[in-house]
Amino acid sequence: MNGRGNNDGSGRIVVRNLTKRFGPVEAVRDLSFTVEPGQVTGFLGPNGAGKTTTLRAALGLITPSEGEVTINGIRYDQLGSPATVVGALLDSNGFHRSRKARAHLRIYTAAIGVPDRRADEVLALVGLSDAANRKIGGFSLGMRQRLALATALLGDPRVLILDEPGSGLDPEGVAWLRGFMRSFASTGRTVLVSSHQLAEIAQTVDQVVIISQGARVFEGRLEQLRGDNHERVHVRCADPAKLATALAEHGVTDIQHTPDDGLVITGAPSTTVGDVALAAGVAIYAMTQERTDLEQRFLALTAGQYQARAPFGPDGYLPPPPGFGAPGQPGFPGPGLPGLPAAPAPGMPGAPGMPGAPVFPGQPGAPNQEGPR
Amino acid sequence: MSVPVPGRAPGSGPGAAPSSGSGTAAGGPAAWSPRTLLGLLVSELRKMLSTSVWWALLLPAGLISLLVTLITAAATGLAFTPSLAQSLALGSFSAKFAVVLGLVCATAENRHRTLATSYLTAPGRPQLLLAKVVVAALLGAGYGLFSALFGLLGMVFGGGQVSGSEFSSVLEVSAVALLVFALWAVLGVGLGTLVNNQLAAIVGVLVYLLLVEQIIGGLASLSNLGRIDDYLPGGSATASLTGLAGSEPFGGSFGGFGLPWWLALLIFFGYTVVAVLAGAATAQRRDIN
Repeated sequence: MNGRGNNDGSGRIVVRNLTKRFGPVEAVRDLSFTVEPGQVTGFLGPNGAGKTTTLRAALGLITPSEGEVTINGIRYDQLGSPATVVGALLDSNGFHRSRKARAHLRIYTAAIGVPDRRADEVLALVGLSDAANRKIGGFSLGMRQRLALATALLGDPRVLILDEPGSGLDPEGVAWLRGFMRSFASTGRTVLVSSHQLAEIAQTVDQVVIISQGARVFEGRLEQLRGDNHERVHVRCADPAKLATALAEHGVTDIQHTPDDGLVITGAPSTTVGDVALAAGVAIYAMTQERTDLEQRFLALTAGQYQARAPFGPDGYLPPPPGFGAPGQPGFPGPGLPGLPAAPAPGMPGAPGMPGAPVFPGQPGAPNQEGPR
Repeated sequence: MSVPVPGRAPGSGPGAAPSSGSGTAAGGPAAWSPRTLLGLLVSELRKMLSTSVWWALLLPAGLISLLVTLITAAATGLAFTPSLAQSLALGSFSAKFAVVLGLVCATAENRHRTLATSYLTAPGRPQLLLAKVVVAALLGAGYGLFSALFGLLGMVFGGGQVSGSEFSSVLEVSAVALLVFALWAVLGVGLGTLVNNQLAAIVGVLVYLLLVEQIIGGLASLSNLGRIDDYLPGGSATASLTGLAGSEPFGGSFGGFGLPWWLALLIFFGYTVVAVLAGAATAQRRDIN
């Protein structure tokens, strides 16, 4: 595909139409996204969504069925001295248990071609200096996670790919890891970190790619995901039409009629709705306020992974129905903030034609630090 | 627990110049440079020597060799020449440890899930396999040397009389044993890479060598097929040593030797090459999950 291109040294990871089938199972379906240097990119999705498959394809450990992944403009196996370009943390159990930590690292300093003292440097970096001469078999999961990170850093790479690095870390370790990723990216280098928990990386990442069932459902900045992070008020009242009119006079125009004669009002707090209803003389029977936060957005986007039917009633957090809360609607409040693509119907992965689908790779306006391609 | 400030590696400022390795297009010459290969070699050597498996297999290899030559030297009724005793001790017994060493060398990475890291730190899978082959050959030759010395020791302990011409024959057998052991270890690396599962690989190879080939050889010796087992992997390796010994076990009751030692060695070499190539082809396509 890419032929024998040149290493452009950009630190950019480009996933292009990646598809991977394991027998009848399609783990990744026509996935495309770009990871830019100088920022932390979160790679999110439920367990089994295809995150690990994608990362391993990027690292040349898995041969794609279709498409390709390039780093610095070329495939991993063309990098020549790959560990000096890309560091990867994939597996907190990837150690021979009877080896000592330093011996483990010195295996790879030799393979990469860096001086042996680099082993002690990275041990100090991850806070394992005291354990250098201990057998890895006696390490806790958190220590093994740190050692895996140390291994990834041996070649002083410019791109860091971390697969669920937070698992097994204690809160202190998680905080440390956050700081580490931020400082790594702040030097103009690339961090791609996967997680199945949005909360785990929400504080760290600049950009997120969310996949579900092997296909991309969101790519963009975290603020875009947060975008319309405001209340939705669900009202059941005596005269929905009258209330809607009254609200419209108050400048609240994002109003949906629900099949059960209710209204869903977006962009106004419940207090406003209540006041307007009182002034208009409309009796209110029920009023609930919903906050759509990041986590719910994430859940909505990735719903259907297991074809599970959410145990929520019509008032709950089902994936937004088509059109509801979709960006570009008249009266959509969040000024200047592109919203979220509606959750794709099953079988419509990625839904590239969705209105307002955020930033595509290569599209002008891809955020941050865009260099010449 | 001390949590260091998220650190920066020295020598890489913001927007640091692309790391080394860039500039060489598409895997470029660096991927096969002597320096790269030497690094991988040291890496593989460290892998093998940083766990206990190398001496855990070496000691029994030497001891069994010592035991066989000791018994044959002490039990005069067997009427083995010293060189034949040495060739049997090395070829039929100690060499099995060399192939297991090779199998472990290749399959430990899968068993301990270090294969991904090894692939990520090597410029390519063929280079990694090459490093494993060379290290296995070196260690295998070491196993051969160690076993040969213990075989000689057994003869001395057994009170065997090794005359001048016999002694040079024993030395010849011992020298070729270094080569045979090296090939056994390399064959193990090839098969281990092919099979990937450590338990399956070791059990499979040992069952084949100790059972299947023995049955084939036994049946062949009863038939008019001659020594077809000399053409099998295990048989050819053993024949390349016994063929050097210049005399027949049990006074030639198995019939004449089918192959000259060098031809047997060549056949064994062929099997080794096939195993390594098959391993390389499989490894190249294998997905590491």
